[in-house]
Amino acid sequence: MATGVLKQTGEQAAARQRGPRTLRQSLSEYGRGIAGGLIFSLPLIYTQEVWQLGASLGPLRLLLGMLVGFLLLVVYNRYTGLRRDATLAEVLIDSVEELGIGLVVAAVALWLVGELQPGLPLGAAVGAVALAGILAAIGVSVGTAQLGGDDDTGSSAEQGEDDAGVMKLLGLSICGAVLIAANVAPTGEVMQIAAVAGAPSLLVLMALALGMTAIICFYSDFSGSARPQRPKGVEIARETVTTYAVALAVAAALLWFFGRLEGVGPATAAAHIVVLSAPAALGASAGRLLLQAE
Amino acid sequence: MPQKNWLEWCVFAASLALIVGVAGLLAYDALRGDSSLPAVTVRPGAPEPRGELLEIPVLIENTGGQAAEEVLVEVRVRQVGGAEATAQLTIGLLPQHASAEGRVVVSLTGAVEVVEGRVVGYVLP
Repeated sequence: MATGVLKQTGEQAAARQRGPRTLRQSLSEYGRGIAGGLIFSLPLIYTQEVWQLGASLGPLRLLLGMLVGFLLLVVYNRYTGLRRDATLAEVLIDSVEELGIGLVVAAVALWLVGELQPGLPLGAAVGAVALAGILAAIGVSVGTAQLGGDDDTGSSAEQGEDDAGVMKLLGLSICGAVLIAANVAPTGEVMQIAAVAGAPSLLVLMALALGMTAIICFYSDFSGSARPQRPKGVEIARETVTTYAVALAVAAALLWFFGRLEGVGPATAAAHIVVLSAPAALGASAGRLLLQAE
Repeated sequence: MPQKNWLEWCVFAASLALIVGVAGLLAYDALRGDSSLPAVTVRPGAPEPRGELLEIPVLIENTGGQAAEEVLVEVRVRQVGGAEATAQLTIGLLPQHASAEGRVVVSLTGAVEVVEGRVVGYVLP
């Protein structure tokens, strides 16, 4: 408790010393954010299923999606955002900005591809914008923090040591998995692949996803994957399995959100989840690298 | 108070208003609670001659509380002399409280006595 108070006081002092950014810095950040939003949401916006799901998912599920998306933004900004010495208030404000920018990016992109027409009912239009906006917002957050230079990182090194832990690891893995797998989850191809692939193929796909997770996190020499001392076999296995478990959970949650688990039996649902877990595992691994790169 | 310039405060205010607006509309939609089955009606317009064919504009409307997918519509045309022809039209998605316009073509010429439209079926999302 006392440590938390001291830490919070230190963060606030750092924020006060830093002062407001110039307009040029702000515009540069927004530009990077919009680019990130487009990079990560355009595949989804170009997908027919998304236009239809906006009208058919239902308002409660979309509200839940917005809430979970906002929480992911808070987690991402807390652990890997541009200003890692930010106070909680700053993190919340940044998250609101990113969600707002994400909604605007999604609305403009949907209008440009002709899916926001004047005759479209308001509910369907709001649903499509909310659905695409959630992912665009995570893209805005990633773009703001990762596409730019290291101009305002504050006391990241100290904070990185304090915050290293399971929650941080899980949070970034979930963010990465959602970012990549959400572009695939609403498509009908997941069901088609699951229907065609038999159990042996799906088991091989699981093994491949586990192998790719281990390679990306420990053997690829990607930025962030190098460590002073390479972990031993048991630790590699433990972290790989944990990351893949996150990918499986995110795949299941996304398929449920997009209504892809309704009306299917347990075995078929498991097949759908395994198919989606492959891209989710790649995203979760990339999320871990962001953590390790600090 | 977080250190932000005026542009960032403006973006924050606009973002907050947008999020509240979108969430409010979704909440209003949820509270309204209209989850009734799709109610699809078909309204054929006046046939227009196209050489040896007749082209008929069709307005399809869903006044129900749920969207309908793969809506199959059939239009039947009967001539004065008794000859009949039918044509079908499929709409990928018809959201709740929405309408779509289409056109069907039948191999008939001459005066038309009756044009009728009906929904053959649809899939619930």
